[in-house]
Amino acid sequence: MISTKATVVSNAHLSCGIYKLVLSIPDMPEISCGQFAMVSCGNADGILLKRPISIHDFDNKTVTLLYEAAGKGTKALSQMQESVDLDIILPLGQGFEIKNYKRIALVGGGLGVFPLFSVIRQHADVEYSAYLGARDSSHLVCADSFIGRCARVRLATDDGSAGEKTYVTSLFKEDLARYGFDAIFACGPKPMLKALKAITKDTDIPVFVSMEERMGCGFGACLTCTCKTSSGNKRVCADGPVFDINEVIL
Amino acid sequence: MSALFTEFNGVAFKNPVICASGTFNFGEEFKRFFPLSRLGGISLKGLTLEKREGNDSPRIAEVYGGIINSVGLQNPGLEGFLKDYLPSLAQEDTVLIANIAGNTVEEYCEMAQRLSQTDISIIELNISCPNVKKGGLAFGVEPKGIESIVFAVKKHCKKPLMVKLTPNVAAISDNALAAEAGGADSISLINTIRAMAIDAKTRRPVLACITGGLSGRAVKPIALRMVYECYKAVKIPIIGLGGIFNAEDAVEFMLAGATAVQIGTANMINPMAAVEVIDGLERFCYDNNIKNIKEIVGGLII
Ligand SMILES: Cc1cc2nc3c(=O)[nH]c(=O)nc-3n(C[C@H](O)[C@H](O)[C@H](O)COP(=O)(O)OP(=O)(O)OC[C@H]3O[C@@H](n4cnc5c(N)ncnc54)[C@H](O)[C@@H]3O)c2cc1C
Ligand SMILES: Cc1cc2nc3c(=O)[nH]c(=O)nc-3n(C[C@H](O)[C@H](O)[C@H](O)COP(=O)(O)O)c2cc1C
Repeated sequence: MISTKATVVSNAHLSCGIYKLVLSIPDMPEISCGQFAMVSCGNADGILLKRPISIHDFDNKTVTLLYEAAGKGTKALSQMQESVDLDIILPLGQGFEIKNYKRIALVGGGLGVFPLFSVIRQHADVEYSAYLGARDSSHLVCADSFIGRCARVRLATDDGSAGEKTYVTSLFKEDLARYGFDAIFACGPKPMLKALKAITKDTDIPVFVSMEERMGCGFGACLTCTCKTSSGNKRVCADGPVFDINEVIL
Repeated sequence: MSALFTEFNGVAFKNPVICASGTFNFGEEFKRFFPLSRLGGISLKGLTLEKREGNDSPRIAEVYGGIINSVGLQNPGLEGFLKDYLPSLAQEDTVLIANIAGNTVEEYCEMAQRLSQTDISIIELNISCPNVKKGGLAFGVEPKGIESIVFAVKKHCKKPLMVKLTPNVAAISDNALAAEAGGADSISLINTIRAMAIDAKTRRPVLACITGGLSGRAVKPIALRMVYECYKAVKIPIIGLGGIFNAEDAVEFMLAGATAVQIGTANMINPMAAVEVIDGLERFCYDNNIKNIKEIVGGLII
């Protein structure tokens, strides 16, 4: 984990207010998939806190983040031009562990699709089945990069403009018994995670979910981003964001 | 001798910069960024007699120039702290300050007594937490309440007693005087200011607890005014905090009368904040030909 200055290599609008930010990092630390970064959005308009954004992709010089310009901070971030320096802390949290899994199902909804890509980038020798969902086709900004890297990719949209008009968890449910998954990795809104928990409750396949909560420091010191677990409150930023689905109380 | 060497309540500090309770946990998370021995001291995460899980999330909201938190004193309890955290902390070459909060006067006394037998150098009496139902603020608002709890705890406390004051009061200098009368060795201020944030889109409060405590840059002018008023009222040392982000902020607090300062919210935004304040104060002394930083304490020119 380092606190450093990163330089904006590119910061491009993809679609629907979703941006792809490539940052070059001096002294790149070791990263594992599912971890995140705390990114400064400058201090315009009274902004203080850095924003938590998942690592979408990385190599030995750069990290790529996909983010939605949602509120004050991320909108300011979307205005950052090439070669601007940003304060950043990374990599943070406990990511997804591949262990000796051979067949992994990835279940992502909305912005939760973004961090799942880091899994297939870091561990190419696993057989992946990806179930990706969003509001509509233009919000599914990175689905293409899963195709070709996964044994199968199934898409769900609320309006049927890409893939099937259904919930991503429904697609996953159809395939659950079919492909003998060793593990399931998921990231998405709480209702999606709850549905996933219900679908998988009678299997003994391990399910790991990435949680989201409002954060202060991002590195474990301020105890503001806690979530409830079977063993008391845990810090999403340092004990998570990835937890065993049986541990977190959704 | 270093220009930043500071001493108060019989305790020697390498520099007058202390990390504030609740923003620095028990220090462990910051060791990756700098050696804790750089710090004058650490005011550790607020402790209660029994372990506490704290409040529901969301526990933090960002507002203009500040944050509002409602953590609610999540901590491992006194026993858990003594067993799992203090042994390694005691190896660090920095002053350790235990920040304690109780549900009753008896609990405060019991904690002060237990901590007096440890490597803790100073006990900070937190009678100013806005985020718990019992204790905390209940003892810290009225001068009478302050004097009596300080008096009671002082009898069980074999270490210097620093009393942390809340800004959510009518007249801060009366409360400072009450702490002094009760036997406080020093006072620290300010704790957070009661506040709330509303999300206009969802029409809901941002925090699960609805209200919380404001800290960060936005509170600095209020904190400065309060330190100034207390300095005029009491003789015991004052430790100033509230929105200190850099050395210049720290100098302003010292001019208003603070013997030392604490850094809170800034640690959460920049893990190197406290070290940057120390380096900046060092430079300030050098540039201004100041032999020791205590020369500027209360040096406000009116
Ligand atoms: C571990 C983690 C990973 C994330 N990864 C991504 C990602 O890869 N791409 C992406 O687009 N978004 C991601 N998010 C959500 C992202 O952090 C928020 O959208 C962002 O913080 C909103 O900030 P803002 O300035 O737009 O909104 P503002 O309303 O200005 O934010 C005010 C405060 O609330 C916090 N906040 C607001 N909404 C959220 C939220 N949904 N989750 C957490 N904090 C919030 C902000 O961080 C800030 O402290 C992630 C969140 C977490 C916790
Ligand atoms: C997340 C958070 C947790 C805090 N927890 C405590 C605590 O346990 N005990 C305490 O006395 N003060 C606590 N405080 C208050 C700070 O120590 C400090 O008094 C206040 O934040 C003002 O200083 P600042 O503006 O530099 O943060 C907390 C503040 C924050 C932001």
